[in-house]
Amino acid sequence: MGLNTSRILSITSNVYLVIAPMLLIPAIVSLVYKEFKTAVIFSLAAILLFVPASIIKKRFGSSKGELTMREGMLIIALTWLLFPFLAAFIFLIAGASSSYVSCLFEAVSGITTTGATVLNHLESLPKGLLFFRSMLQWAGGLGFLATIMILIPITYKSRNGLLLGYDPARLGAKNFTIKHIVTKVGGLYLSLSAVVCVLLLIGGMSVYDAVVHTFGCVSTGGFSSYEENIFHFHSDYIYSVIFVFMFICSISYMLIIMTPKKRIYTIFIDSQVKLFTLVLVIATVIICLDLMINSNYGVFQAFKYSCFESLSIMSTSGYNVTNYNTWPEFSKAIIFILLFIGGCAGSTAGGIKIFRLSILLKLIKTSIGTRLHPNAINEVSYDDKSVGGNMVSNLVNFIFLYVAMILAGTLAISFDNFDIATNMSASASCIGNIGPGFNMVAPFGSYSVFSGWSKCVLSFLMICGRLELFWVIGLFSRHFWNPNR
Amino acid sequence: MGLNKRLIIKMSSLILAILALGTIPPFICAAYFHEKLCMAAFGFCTIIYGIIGLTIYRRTKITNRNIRIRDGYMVVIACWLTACLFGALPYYFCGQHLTFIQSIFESTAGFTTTGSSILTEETATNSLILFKAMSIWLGGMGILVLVVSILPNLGIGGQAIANAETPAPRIEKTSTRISDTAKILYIMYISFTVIEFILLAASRDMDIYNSVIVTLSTVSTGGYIQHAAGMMYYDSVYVETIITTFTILAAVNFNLYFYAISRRFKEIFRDTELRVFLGILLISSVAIALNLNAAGIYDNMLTSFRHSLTQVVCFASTSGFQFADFMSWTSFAKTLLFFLMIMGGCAASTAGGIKVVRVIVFFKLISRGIVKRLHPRSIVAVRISGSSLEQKRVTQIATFIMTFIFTIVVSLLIISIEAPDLESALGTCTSILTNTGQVYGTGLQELGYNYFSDPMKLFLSLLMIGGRLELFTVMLLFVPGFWNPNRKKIRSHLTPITSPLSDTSAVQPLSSRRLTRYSFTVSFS
Repeated sequence: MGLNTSRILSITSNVYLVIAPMLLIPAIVSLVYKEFKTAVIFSLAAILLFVPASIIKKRFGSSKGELTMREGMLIIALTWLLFPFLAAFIFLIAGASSSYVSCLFEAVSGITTTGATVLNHLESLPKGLLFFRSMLQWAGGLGFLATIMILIPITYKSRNGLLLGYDPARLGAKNFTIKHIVTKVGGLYLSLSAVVCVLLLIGGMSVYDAVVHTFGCVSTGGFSSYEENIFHFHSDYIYSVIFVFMFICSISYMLIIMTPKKRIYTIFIDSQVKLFTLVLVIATVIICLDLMINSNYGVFQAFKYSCFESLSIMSTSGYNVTNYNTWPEFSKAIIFILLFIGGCAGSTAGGIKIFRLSILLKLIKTSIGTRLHPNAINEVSYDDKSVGGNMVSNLVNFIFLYVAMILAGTLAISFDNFDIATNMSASASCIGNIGPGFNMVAPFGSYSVFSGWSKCVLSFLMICGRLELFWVIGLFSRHFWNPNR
Repeated sequence: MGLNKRLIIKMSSLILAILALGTIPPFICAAYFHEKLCMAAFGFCTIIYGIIGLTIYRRTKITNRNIRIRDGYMVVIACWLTACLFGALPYYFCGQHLTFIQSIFESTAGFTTTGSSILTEETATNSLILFKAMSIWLGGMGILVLVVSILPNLGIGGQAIANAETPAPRIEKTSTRISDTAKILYIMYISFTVIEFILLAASRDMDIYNSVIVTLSTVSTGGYIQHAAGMMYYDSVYVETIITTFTILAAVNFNLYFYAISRRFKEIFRDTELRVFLGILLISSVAIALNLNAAGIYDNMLTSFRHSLTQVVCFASTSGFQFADFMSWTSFAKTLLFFLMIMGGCAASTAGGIKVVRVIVFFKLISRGIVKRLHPRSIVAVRISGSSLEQKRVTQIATFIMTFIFTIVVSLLIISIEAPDLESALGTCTSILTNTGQVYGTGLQELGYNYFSDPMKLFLSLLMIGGRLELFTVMLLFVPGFWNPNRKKIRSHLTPITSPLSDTSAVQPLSSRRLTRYSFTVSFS
């Protein structure tokens, strides 16, 4: 069972052919702000990417047919793993940082919609570069959605279908085809971006700021052009716009397009959305009460901060309107736990994902019952449908791997001698594609305190987290390279 | 179909009788050290325990000798609660100004081999410390297993009880020719205790009294010591070597000693868990030693290695002695110690934590998951010690680990209501749940567990019992189906004890005929 190299290369070159022209947009922005050096870098990068890609495309042509699992994984590796390395050069040459590793971290953080940064004094950097950084997130979000949709047929074939959290066919979309869904999701993504942008403009942002924050918001990434990100604006209107769209963008896109427009409120019937909202409300209420009792916040302020920060962490955006690191311990612990949860599957949000969590809890409940009645047969069901043993075991493996990687990451970056809360929250935050953590990496801070080695580890965690772990970790398995063994 | 109440009461009363015996040595000790108040307290407790225990024991006639699974769990819970609650009395009476809840915390920390203490060096009397060490020793092997082993003629099903008390996953098949294994295990336990005591008392560094205390809390992996400075008080290589050796011995699967006795050394070498455990101990102590040396915390490599090895062993075995001021170590060392604490010792030992064998399964499941992604139709067995595990047992191990993580998360939330910082909250819930008991966290260094309020101490006590009984036994109490088993839609067969409960059971019938009488193979956690 060999690999179809030409198909892999042709699809990969297609991806780069889409990316290359996009690099011209930051070039134009640079020109507008009269930053000629960065403009040249971007246009040069666009050409350097476009030419080889088109040569490869010509050489191998287009090929059709279904992808196998291994081919899919290689294509993902060639795009998701290779591109950040290339993009890091742009950061390096444009002068974002003097070390390549920092640039790599920044590029990975962008493309995986994490939003963790190693750059200090953002305001002094070229505007074109900051624009590129945010655009990377936006493109990363779109790319992620495209990737999971390409993966749907592969995963269904291999009975690993829970990638989306539910079966798209069940939502009443008869005759659904991948092409149909891709177009619709892409359209939704674009229109959401347009709406956010317009609303932010109304809120008094400049065009540049509005676009940059739209990129960060819609992709649930969290890059900003200011060190104090959203807090910079001191506007409740902007807070609420961002809040609403962080929520929408961490709900499954597939679910939104498949729900009839007239009855869009029925989205809340979906068990994933229901649980997501429930966790959000509970976290908000508890933090709000804790802040009111143990901090000197007023009712409105406590509510504002608690709901924004909870959602920001749950949707894995990482925008901040306050520094939660100064909150009482109990609230901090809740935020810490939210770092692991993440949003709904089928959106750009990362984390363990809410549906896995709900199945996990059911599994624990079932297992207690099994102790009592060892011969009873209990099935775990989700959305009134029994979850097969294979899926349960996949899910358990995922959660185990997730936990193991966070712990390994914590240990690996502990050489920098920061406290365990910093290390663990940084690992969890990176693998969940969130951004801020605790203590040293608290909101409004940056990851620049870490050493090069730690930045590499954290970048790796970000990519793994974005690609649902197995798509990257699988590459390191000897079974991948030698399938007939 | 109610619970077998008479049996539960009878067993609990038996525990009281054992407690009565357990208070006699502290009584003598109090007399020796002229601690009048404590003498009165222990004398009073002996009489109370004895009278209540024996009266109830004699008055209760067991009409139904059939133990169902629920009864087994209930007996274990009732007995542990009895021990922890009644065991709190001496602390309360001894005039240490402890509230009753603090006494419960102290007593639970004893029986669950957590070994943490809120008594200070000044207030604790010698007899009280001895009592605590005795309770740790009793809890180490499991009080009920003791009952089963010394009183086989009771005719009660030790299987269901031992199953609920020591649900460690049993992997290898112990084909037993030795009858009444529990007894032999206790002999093993006692002989370790005696040998260690002799070795410690022989040294000039430690007096007889402290040798007793340290010995009792070493073989049970309790890790309780009179001095606030922990083992640093002695600062003796000899003492540290002895303690480290016996801690490792106590944290190894006790089934292996069977093999050693019956001269089946091949089985010992084949045991994956042992090899992995020793390997992890070695690698982590070398890693920490290198790290400490590089950071320049100790003068030379040898000192670094001495401190790292002792501390690694005491965290991995969840005994929690303090050999060095590890909170001032590097972040890498502290993090690694934290992970070792979660891992814990081997299955069927006196250690707590997730257990090495489960950690092995954890990693094997991950690697199997990767293979399964690549080859969805493949069937890969999880193999340990050369034989593959049943799917059912793999599921149980997986759910145990998830429940463990879930418990840590929930208790982290609850503890953080009072904890000074995140690190302390995380350290406390892990240390308590794994029965390590060592104070972990910079914010807690000064006050220790006294930092927490009384209600929180009650919660910590519950967590300790939950950790000692491996979660499910305690969690079952909160499941409605436990109290009303016929309410569930799916009626399941409540298995009578005569059927082999192979899944989690630490117990295997020798033959069905003998099982109904009194012979059991028991392993411990």
